[in-house]
Amino acid sequence: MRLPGTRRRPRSGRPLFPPLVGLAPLALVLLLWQLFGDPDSVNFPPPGEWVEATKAVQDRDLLLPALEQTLAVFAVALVLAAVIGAAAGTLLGASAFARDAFGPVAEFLRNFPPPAAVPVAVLLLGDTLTMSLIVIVGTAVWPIILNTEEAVRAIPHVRINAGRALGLSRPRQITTLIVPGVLPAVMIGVRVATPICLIVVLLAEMLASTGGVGHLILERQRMYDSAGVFACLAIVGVLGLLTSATVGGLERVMLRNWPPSHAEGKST
Amino acid sequence: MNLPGLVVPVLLVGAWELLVRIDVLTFTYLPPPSDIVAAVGGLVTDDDLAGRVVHTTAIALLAWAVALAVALAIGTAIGLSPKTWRLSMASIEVMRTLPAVALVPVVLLVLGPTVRAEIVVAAYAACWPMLISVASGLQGAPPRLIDVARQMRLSKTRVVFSLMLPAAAPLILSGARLALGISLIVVVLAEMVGNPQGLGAGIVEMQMALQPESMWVYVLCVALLGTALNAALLLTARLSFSNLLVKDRP
Repeated sequence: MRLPGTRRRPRSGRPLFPPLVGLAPLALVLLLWQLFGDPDSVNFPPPGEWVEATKAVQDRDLLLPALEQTLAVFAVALVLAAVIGAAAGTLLGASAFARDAFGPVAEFLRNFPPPAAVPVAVLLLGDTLTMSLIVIVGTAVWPIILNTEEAVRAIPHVRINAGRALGLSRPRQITTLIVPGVLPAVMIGVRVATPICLIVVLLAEMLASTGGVGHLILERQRMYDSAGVFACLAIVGVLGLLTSATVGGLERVMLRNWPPSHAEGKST
Repeated sequence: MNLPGLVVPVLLVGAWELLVRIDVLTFTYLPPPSDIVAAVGGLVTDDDLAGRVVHTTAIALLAWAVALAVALAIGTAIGLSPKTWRLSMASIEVMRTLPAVALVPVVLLVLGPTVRAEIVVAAYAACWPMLISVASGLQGAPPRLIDVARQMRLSKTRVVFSLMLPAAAPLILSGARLALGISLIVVVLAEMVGNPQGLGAGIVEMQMALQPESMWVYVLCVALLGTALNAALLLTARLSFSNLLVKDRP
């Protein structure tokens, strides 16, 4: 309970987005490009042409299905990465033996370049969505694992011992001691994983023929439809911003009462 | 000595070899590890493995160097001047979230499948983490240090070079590591979908030729190259800036 007159602790220090004035340089470049760019330019079509190209692509009913697929794969992969990452991170954080045994293998897999992983997965599993999901989750899961592992290791031993002394069962220990302790770290991991996840979704779509926006971009490039390529690029940019903002907002909502007012410990 | 850490990878590779040999794992294109090792010799003599490694490494390092130079310049400007930060950070944030892989087709379209395209797109993708870490490293310089410098009436340049940049060194180093990893990834990707040279092209060619052993060799080369470059960077940084980075790792 808060005492009257005390202020709520400020939420996490970093603002979601820097001041919007900062968009001016980018807007200016796009404006100048539109005003002075050659509409028939092969390499640098001005933004107005992008809109036309977007319409042309949508008229052939290519854009929305691709967007839908990309977003669906992205969402499923991110949720899977969060669940798997939190579980694996908790295991690695709780057991020194697991850390020793799987540390080197994890280090190797973590540094495995995703573009090189896609062809391997394609040869083994074919051009399927399962294949894409395995590669995407396999890449996006690492920041979540690492953050969770750190957080589990940072849980004070006293707290675990107190739980044991109170006779909490193993599952109760996990739900009341571990989960609240690692939730913020998992969410930070998910925030870091969000752009990575989107990148690898696009990458998998570019390298395997499973459709989606990544496939659409490459197809436009191979047809020398430069306005179409720039249009896709702009769409992907908006996707990047929206997904990051959504996950950032979700993190704030989930952690709005964090840390709980009765919890001891560091606020950072 | 981390014994379990050594045993587990050996066991995993051993299990892979065994399961493929006795036909338990029956993927059409999963060769046993021994066949992959055996394929290396043929690639060195017939497919210029060494040349591919050198090409990819050189391009990745070159793009990384370009990214570092650009990021240091812009990052310093943004980190030192709150006004510049206010007027440009949102644009940078937008451009940074643009997934780099989506840029590969654009750059290939504009510059064609050339080495220049590889360098441009990899440098663009790699400069953001470095830029952000330089800027926030400079902004995060301990205020007490700045006060001391003011007391000693150090010049502005002196403060930046002998005080703020060293204070930001660990953060800048981690930005540089991220940038190196990204640079290699984007170069490989550009080689896979555009410029047919280097390790990336090797992976795709062997995939098309349905020679999984050879493809695995190139894939593992890329993975090892990433680890090796990272280790080399850490070592160089430790040796040349040991006085700055003592507190970096326990």
